[in-house]
Amino acid sequence: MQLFPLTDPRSFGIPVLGSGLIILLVLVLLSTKWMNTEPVMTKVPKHINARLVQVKKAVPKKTTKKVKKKKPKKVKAVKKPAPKSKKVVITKKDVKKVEVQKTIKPVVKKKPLPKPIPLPDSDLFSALEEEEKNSNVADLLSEDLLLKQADEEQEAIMSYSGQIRALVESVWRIPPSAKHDDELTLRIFLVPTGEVIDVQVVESSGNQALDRSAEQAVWKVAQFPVPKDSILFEKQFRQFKFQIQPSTARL
Amino acid sequence: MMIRFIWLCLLLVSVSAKAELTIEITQGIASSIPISIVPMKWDGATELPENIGSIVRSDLERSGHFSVLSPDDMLSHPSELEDVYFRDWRLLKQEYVVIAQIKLNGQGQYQIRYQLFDVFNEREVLTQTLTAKASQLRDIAHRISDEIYEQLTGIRGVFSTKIAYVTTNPMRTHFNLAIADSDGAREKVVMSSKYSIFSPAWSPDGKRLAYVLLEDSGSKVYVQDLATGDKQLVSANKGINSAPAFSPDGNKLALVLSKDGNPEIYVVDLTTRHWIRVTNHYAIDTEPNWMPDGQHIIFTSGRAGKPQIYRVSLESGYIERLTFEGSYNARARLAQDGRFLVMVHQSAKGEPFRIASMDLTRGLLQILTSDTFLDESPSVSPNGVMVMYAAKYNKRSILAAVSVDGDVKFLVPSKSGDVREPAWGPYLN
Repeated sequence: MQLFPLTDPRSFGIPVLGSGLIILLVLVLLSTKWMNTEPVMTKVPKHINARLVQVKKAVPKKTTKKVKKKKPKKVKAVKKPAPKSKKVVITKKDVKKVEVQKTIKPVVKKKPLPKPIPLPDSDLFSALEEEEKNSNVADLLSEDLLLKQADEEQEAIMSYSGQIRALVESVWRIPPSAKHDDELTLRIFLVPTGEVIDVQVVESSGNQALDRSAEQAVWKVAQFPVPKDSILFEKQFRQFKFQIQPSTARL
Repeated sequence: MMIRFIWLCLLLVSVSAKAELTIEITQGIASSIPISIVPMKWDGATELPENIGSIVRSDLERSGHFSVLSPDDMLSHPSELEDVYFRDWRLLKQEYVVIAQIKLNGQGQYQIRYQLFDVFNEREVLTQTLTAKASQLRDIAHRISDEIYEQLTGIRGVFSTKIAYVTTNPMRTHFNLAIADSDGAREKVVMSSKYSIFSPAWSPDGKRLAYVLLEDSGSKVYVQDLATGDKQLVSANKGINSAPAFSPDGNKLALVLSKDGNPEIYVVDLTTRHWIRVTNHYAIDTEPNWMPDGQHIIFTSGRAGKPQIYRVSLESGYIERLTFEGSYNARARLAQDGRFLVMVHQSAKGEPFRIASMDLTRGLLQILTSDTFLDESPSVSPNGVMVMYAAKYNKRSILAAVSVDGDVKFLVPSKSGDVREPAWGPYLN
């Protein structure tokens, strides 16, 4: 086969590139759908309210640059993940305060950006200075609130996870062929009442009997205790994973 | 640009994966699986020669891995899926249910269709249709047991395998070498003799048996073809000829000869009749058994003063002692690809003889038996789960079985007076 330059009408380069881009775009769109963006969106406003003040601790130059960048529509797909990463950060927050400060800011930056656009540069700087003065107090306040909220959330997750774990362990009948280092992963799908609607084997142990015993254990429990808070349910319990290892097996 | 895009995609996926809650499960319960074998539907005019359902029920129950619901306790006896109400079976705390129907087909053969359901998942796990002549119904029943057992435990079933053993009349003047199903049914005498029969050993293909006959002129080792009944003399050396064991490829026999003074282990090639001496020690070396690799033999030796188990490499002749616990360890057999050693064990002088298993990777010894006396001749099932052995019980010689983990025990029924020297046969297909 002959290779033609891109500009040559006989070349496949452009169609191939084009189709590749389309596939990638679809991939990105699909992956964002999979991640249940809606519940995240509902969460976002909370943080914005608390954080609008401390906005521009970061270098202003960058923010102005980003304003420009945001104009093209294409980037939208890329922007979406931002709130998602926030989600991860929040759950980890209770451990390290410093990290929280650093990681949250860049995320929050993006939302309020449209507002500063009309402001002249000088106004921006003065606003920034003022904010920086207040930021320490505001930071502490919002941080405290956030931390408390995250702590509570984390506690709830731990508590429900523990109950769920105990329930499964009380009914899981380990088959005699199971080896102590066998491992499998199940994904569980629940409705808000906690009822199991689907169980999928994500990673098989290679031992069918073991896989089946674990699946059956989940179906045997049939209904798990889940948080009444629908946001927390959507975020962590509508679907989650079981990592299963029969560590007490004799073999 | 493209690469960046791909990276972004990957990043998104990994971020979402991290965010998903993961709960670890590391413990469970290790008890028998509740299962219901519904009586099989049969519309024939005459009663079936064998009750397949009840054979399957007793097979599974005897394995120890299942607790089987009595048909009297079932709320219904469905034979079709649409009559199976999973909620009812859940109420009965059943986890699996088996339904089946038997029909007579055009050729006068029985056609058995059975289905295995997961009660909680409400899903079919297994379905199979088998045909058999009237004389094969028992084989079919054991085959169904094997399939169900393997599906649910992850271990191959041994209900279709055979056992060989020696029976004697109370006067000990007449001896039979017999073969039966692993549940003791359908006993068939392979060879009868006025001489004592010892140490039956199966060839790996299940077609031949090696054994020792204690004739007037001394002990001799024979190999007998089970289909034709032809027996072939393998060893009639001066002194002891005993304890034959087939190599994993079936071409060689390890045995014990005392032609050079005291008992030593030898290996003979069954086609070329080429002999190799394996051990050379002034103490007794006996009861050889092959490792699955065909390169090593385990045996009992008194070289340390008391009988203990050793392993010898056929290639290098290197000998390694395997057992150290107890005053007496003898007649070892291997289970589960050589991971477990099963043997006769005495913890200290004067203590009873028991069957014990030893985990060779962890070095742990576990005594398996407790209710029988003078436990001897352990033989391991081909799936490595059960051990059959001979023992004294109510002043009779009987066969009993115990699982390698010690959890399951049962006595093997026998019509004959005294039964001993069990040898569990290999898989037959």
